[in-house]
This record gives sequence, C-alpha cells and structure tokens, in this order.
Amino acid sequence: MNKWLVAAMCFLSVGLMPALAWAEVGVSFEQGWVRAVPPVSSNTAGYFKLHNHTDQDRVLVGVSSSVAKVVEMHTVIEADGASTMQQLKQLVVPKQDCVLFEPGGNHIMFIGLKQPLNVGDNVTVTLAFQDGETLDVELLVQKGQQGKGDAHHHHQHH
Amino acid sequence: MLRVIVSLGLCLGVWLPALSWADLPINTKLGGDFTLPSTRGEPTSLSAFKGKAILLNFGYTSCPDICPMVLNRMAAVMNELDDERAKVQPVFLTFDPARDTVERLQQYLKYFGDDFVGFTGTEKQLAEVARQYGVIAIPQKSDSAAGILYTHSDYIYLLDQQGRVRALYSKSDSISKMVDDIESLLEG
Repeated sequence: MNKWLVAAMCFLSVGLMPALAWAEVGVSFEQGWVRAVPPVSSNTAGYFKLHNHTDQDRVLVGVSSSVAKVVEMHTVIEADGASTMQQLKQLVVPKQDCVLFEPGGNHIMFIGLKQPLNVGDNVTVTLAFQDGETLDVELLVQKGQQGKGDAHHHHQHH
Repeated sequence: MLRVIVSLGLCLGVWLPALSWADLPINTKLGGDFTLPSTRGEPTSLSAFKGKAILLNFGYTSCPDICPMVLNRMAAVMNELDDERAKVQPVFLTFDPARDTVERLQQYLKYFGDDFVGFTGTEKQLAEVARQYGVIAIPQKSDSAAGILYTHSDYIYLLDQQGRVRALYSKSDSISKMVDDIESLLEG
C-alpha cells in the first residue's frame, strides 16, 4: 500500500481514537477482527491497526491466543500476478506511527483452530513486544468486507 | 423510409449487443473444458454448466487470508444476483489435492453457498487445468506451522454461457462491477 495512504489512515484514526487501554505500553490497538471461515477450516487470519504513541520504535515479536495451536505473523508479497505469504519473525511499529494488519497484507495467522469461530465471537490475542511487555487485545469474528468500496454497497437492479 | 427504419433496426440489432459486450471481449487464450472429481459426488465437466454464466476461482482451503477473502467476494456477488442467481454457477478448483478431498471441499464450500461446486483431482490433472487458465500455483516450503503455503494468483474468472472466458477480476475490482458484467452477459 502507498505509504502516504498508510500515513493518512494513521492520522485519520488518531482523530477517531476510541477509549483504549494503551497507556501502559504506549501502543494502541483498534479495528481488530478475525475472518470468519467455514467450520471445517483449521486456519484463519486476524487483522488490526497498531499505533505507537511513544518516541521509540516498538518491535512486535510474537502473537498468541488460546483459540489456536499456533499464531504467527505473516505478510503477503505480490509480484508477477501472484501472492506469496511470508512469515514475519518480528515487525517494527515505528515511533509515533502505525502499522496495518489487513487482508492481502500483514496479518496474523491462526493455525490449528481448536474449535470453529462464529461470527460475533471475541478472540483474545496477546501481543508480545521485544522489551518484554505484552498487550492483550480483543478481535471480533466477522465476515469482513468483500472489496474496495463495497462496505456499504447496495446494488440497484434494473 | 422503410428502408431507413429497417437499416436503423439492423444497426441497433447489431450494435446494441456489441456495445453491451464491448467490455467483455472473448478471451481466446485462456479457458477450456475439463472433467474432474467434484463436490457433486461424481466426475463433472465444466461444460455441464453450459447455458449458465460461471464464476470460477482457484485456491486451497488451508489458505488463511486471500482464498477465503476471494470466496467471500464470489459469495457477495451471488447474493446480489437475487432471481438471476440460478443462471450463474460458482465454481472453485483447488490446486492442493493432497489436503483438499471432495469431502473437505463439500464441507468448506457450503459455507459460501449451497450452489458452489468444487473440483479436485490429481496433481497432474489440476496442473493441466491451471495451465489452461493461466493460473499460478507454486507450493512453498516454509518454517510456518501451517505447512505448505502456495504462491498463487487469485483472479475470479467470468465465463459466459458457452464456457468462454470473458473477464478476469482482481481483488481491487468491485462487487458491483462483477454483478453488472454478469447481468450484461445474461441480458446478451
């Protein structure tokens, strides 16, 4: 994604800042959701936005959740008309900046779901930072948007 | 005068369908029929759906991010069609036959719609269909606990009622564009 667009989205979310429990670690979390997938699926993905309000880079080094055997960070690299998933061992959240976890980009991967997740469920995920601090966050299970500009689309039949 | 009207009628008759198809040229390089084990419980040919428009996508059910997103997009298109839904066949082909059996595809696809039909087969069979449609699907070794992940393309293909490829949609194409194109094909 265009870095200016990311910057604009970061700026926008500051203006819409909800009440967040981020004071302790200086990192705020918002718009967290997990993709609802068929009950037979053992894997799914989670997305959110992380803000670093401090004057030091914060390094996310791990994610975990009781709903899956393993949770990993991945990113998607698009090249030559194909997408490749690549595992991230760590991800820097730059000082006074944000990183996006979004479909087709950075995401956390739930591998080996212990039970099916239903739309409307809340999933607790623990984010671990390099300095040893952790942040527990809640992600809402939902189907997600289908495409650009379709969040509120209602097709007019003719 | 009559000649003018007839000429005008002929022109309209020729041009209106041409105009409505203008954005959906027949792709002569991609596509073709295939016969593979399907979620219908028996080997099925794509040509069995002749007379319907087809939405076709390739992926694998262990894919956590892009494949369910694309299938959600197909489901959204189907849900927008209402009465015309029966005239469109959603189809999913796996390129991961080791994990995606017919039974697994049946369980997986019904989540997106009861009318979704899935195909699997041998690696060789699926590679041949992928070649027909210009699909990229390369298994990647990784340290991930997810096991094999694929580097893959993720287009949704729109086929017309004769099974010819008419459009490819990327993730940035809107649901409304796909619905409009399908309606254009159905009206044509």
